[in-house]
Amino acid sequence: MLPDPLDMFLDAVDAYAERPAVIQDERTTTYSEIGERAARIAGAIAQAGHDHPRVLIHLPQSMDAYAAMYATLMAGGFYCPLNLEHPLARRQSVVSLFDPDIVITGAASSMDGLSFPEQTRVVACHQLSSQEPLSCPRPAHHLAYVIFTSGSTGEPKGVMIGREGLGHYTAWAHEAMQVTPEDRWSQHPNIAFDLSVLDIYGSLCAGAALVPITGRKARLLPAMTVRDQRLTIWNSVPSVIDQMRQGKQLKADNLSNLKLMTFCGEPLLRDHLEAIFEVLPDITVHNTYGPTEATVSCTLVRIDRDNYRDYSRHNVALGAAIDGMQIDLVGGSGNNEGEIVISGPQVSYGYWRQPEQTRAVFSASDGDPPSRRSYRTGDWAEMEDGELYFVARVDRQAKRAGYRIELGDIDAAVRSACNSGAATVLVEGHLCVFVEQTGDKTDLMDRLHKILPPYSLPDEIRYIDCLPRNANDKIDFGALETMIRSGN
Amino acid sequence: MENRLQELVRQWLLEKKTQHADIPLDQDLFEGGIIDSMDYLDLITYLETSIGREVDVSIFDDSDLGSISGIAKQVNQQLNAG
Repeated sequence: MLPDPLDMFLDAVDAYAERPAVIQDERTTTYSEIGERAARIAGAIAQAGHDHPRVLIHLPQSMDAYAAMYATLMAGGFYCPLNLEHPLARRQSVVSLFDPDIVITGAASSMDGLSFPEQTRVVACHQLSSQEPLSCPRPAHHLAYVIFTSGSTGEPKGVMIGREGLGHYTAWAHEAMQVTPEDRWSQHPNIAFDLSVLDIYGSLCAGAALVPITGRKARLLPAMTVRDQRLTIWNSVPSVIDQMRQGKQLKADNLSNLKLMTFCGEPLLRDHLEAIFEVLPDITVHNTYGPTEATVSCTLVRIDRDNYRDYSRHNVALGAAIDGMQIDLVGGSGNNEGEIVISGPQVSYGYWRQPEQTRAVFSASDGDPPSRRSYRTGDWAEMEDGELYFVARVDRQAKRAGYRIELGDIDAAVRSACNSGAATVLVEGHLCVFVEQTGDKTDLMDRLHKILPPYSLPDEIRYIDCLPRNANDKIDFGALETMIRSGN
Repeated sequence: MENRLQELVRQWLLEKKTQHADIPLDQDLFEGGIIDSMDYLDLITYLETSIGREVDVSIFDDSDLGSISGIAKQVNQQLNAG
């Protein structure tokens, strides 16, 4: 039987009652306080009378948002966190698709402009002082949360994650990261980005202190919080390392308390590791891989100063599947390459109210264990010296002059030729690589001639100050394609 | 000097964010996604190169660091403080 994430949280509330749970703006919330907060919010949710309420969390990164997540599980429901920084149209689209029974917010006025279904009840969590706490958790729903990701058609897709899968992942994280109640953990990603799930369940189910990185300056200079709050665990997308470097913050003085940095969400580069180990020679780095559809991540490679070269090509190895999860490569010409297919308890139940899209990429087998779910990721990978390396999105593979080309290979070639970020797009047969630097294009093209086959050579090199990124800090290839189409 | 700093921010916008070069002095550059954190840090590097001095963003006032006028004011304060 898999551990339940709510049980883990309630055990931590009992065991570490007076220890810090969340530290934000110099205010500390203890475990007993967050436990009580969650019970009051759960009481308000339960009063609405749904067996398994759908709860929209309309709150910024904060103690209340985390409490609202656990409160929803207490009330037998499942939640959807909303990114309050997204444009109104995108937020409205998520609200309409999720169709919540309850919305939890700070003050109702903060929801200006959003329209909700008629039956939706608003719980303002700043006004719960007279609310009776829920005394006993309600029977669980099989889902824990639904997180909406950008769909390729433009309409967001809600990824349904099960409570068992979340429990499996949380238990793995505690073991793999050796989390202790002494740990002080960053909370950098937005709560609507599933990388935040690692922070929220990894820390608060283990008695550690969680520190949201909020406020303009702290977001610009995240290492400031690492230093001031003596953080021991850092979790983010790898590009935050670039940001720390640009802000002249990647220094031992700022980061010396860190014992672990863990990355997910986009390729970690050898260059990132070299920069980290130069200032923090004793730190452990975890590189992990996984789509939202398999509950945050399902591989791990542990890296230190001594072994990182063994795990680095142009990007860093993805690691092996974690216990209980399985990774297969399918559709390649041999056993050493193919599309990554993930199976196991962390695999999503599919897309919220989108059965066709679910059938296209998910399957369930009746073997042993029963109904083992699989997900085709659309990520192409290859094995080299026993290590798994990400190559490209399958939809970033294209045919040109009869040859299959990997747009990601071109990105990697440019990165190795000039040590700059690069992103390649193919628009109506025109192959263009955007490079994050200025310089001599002829020289770069000459170097590419030496490392790329002729059919992979770009038609054009464009220098760009900064590659456009989406709300989750991933390169926005759509925006680059639009730049080419519009002739900018 | 504050006016010159404002001009430098505008020059940077003109080079890097062409379509936003004309925005009002007091408009928040982060809102509406005109710039992100990496852009902001790049802008600070540009200002440092232009004025030949390091700028310490960590002592900026959080409530007034997103607009052209706010950036110019805060950098100017650091210059005046020596």
